[in-house]
Amino acid sequence: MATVVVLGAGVSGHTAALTLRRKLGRDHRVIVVSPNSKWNWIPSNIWVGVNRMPSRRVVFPLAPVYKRKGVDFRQAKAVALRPEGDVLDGRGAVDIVYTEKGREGEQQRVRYDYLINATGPQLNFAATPGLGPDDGHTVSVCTPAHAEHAAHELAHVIERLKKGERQTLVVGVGHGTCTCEGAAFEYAFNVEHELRRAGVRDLAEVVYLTNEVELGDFGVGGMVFDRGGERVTSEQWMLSLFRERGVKAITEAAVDSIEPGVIRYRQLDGELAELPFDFAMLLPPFRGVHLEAYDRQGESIRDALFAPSDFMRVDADYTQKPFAEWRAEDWPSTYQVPGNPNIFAVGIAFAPPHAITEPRFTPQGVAIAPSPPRTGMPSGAMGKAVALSIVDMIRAGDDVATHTASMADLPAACIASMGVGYLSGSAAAMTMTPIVPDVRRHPEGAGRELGATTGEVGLAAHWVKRLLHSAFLYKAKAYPLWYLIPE
Amino acid sequence: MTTPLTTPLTTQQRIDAAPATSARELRQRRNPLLQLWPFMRMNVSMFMLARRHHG
Repeated sequence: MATVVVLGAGVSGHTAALTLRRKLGRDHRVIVVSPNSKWNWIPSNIWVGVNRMPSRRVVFPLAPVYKRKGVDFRQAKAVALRPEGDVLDGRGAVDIVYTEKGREGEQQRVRYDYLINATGPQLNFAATPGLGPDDGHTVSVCTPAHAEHAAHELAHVIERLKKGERQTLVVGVGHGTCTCEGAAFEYAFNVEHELRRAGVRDLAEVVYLTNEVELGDFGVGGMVFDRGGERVTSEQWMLSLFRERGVKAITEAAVDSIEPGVIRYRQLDGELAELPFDFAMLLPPFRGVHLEAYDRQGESIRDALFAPSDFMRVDADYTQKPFAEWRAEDWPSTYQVPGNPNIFAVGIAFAPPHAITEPRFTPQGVAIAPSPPRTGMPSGAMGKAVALSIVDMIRAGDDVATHTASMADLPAACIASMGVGYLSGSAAAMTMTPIVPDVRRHPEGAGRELGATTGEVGLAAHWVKRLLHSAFLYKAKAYPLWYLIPE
Repeated sequence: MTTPLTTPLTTQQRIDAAPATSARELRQRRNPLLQLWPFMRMNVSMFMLARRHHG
């Protein structure tokens, strides 16, 4: 009998756990350790943040699903890994601390044969002074609670606009190394849509503040689409959309600090600029979830397993080299941790070998370097691939990972909402193959397959976004035939 | 003869100079009947994309 422990129950971890449970016989154990009691369909937090969807519609409790599927769920946070076990037992182990109501603080050492680290991001609001809803002056849509708070603040802004007061709304990213610019873009356009809907658009200025080198970069180096033989870049596409909706934009910006009503940021020239605001939703940069790691004697082996950013090192090429020498093959494919073939890290938890967009620096050395996105579709694909590899490893009794999911091969589909409404909604539907461009393989499309890299705007894309909301919640709840819905 | 120095346009200037979406395209994007076909096409293409690569 094998025991597989999955740390985290987000898109990647939950997909891995359900896949393992479906493929492995009941004589094997699947344990999920997550500090959260609920699963969250994060893409729809955008709609919670503009008060167009209640937060209860983007979450559901995990325990009943895992009970029904025969997964051992422990509502706890992992604090330390012991890949070699301890002096009592040579099997790998993970130390957890319960967060479940009534068991808070209770500690446990869980033994495993295989471990998947899918702990997701640590929201690093502390990286920028004044950032965030708790100790800062900005709102966020990263969690359902944050999104509810953002909706509440937005409603106040709309009230002031209705009284005839001019307001400046800033939406974007709150640090030079942020990722998820797509989510910031979505929120900016949803806010703009709601202002229009409330009849107060003319008094409001909406500003998109981003670390992207240009609009449409999205941290993936931008895209090139083939439209009837004509090449259109994602930047050209976005410039037109921003003009159409009257959204202003500041690019190549690293937010330096935020004080009440003022955002300070630097662009490539290094000069500090100020942007006054009445409402600001700025996403934080991510770190990995901090885990200690010990060998059998209790000595720290943290540096061997984790990058300084707390993301876990996997089968990537982490050699430091100039941008021109970065290769698609640097990206991991099996997500096995070197030297520990029974440990995997997927989703946001793995350390990317480098950015996709070329990092830039101010004269002061401040990085304006979007981190590579690895949420949503690729996260689910990684979780599934790793689960299938573990199933094969258990059956074969070896340590060869049989399934791969490199971001240099995987496609991604992204539906970026631009406003809610069955008849008035809009979204930008984008697909790209692969996520990490490979100019040697696809010189014609700036590193991507032209036919499989597309962009389209309209009401239909909003309907698709709404359909995906229901489909992925259905899949995550593991209802009948859930596995037929692809990641 | 000297070559005049040009300052790169700011992102906002590039937005202001971007091609405006035509009224016809805007109508097309918002018309529920005309959007039925793109809706079906997008669903099928995304499903096939995901199945092909993630299967």
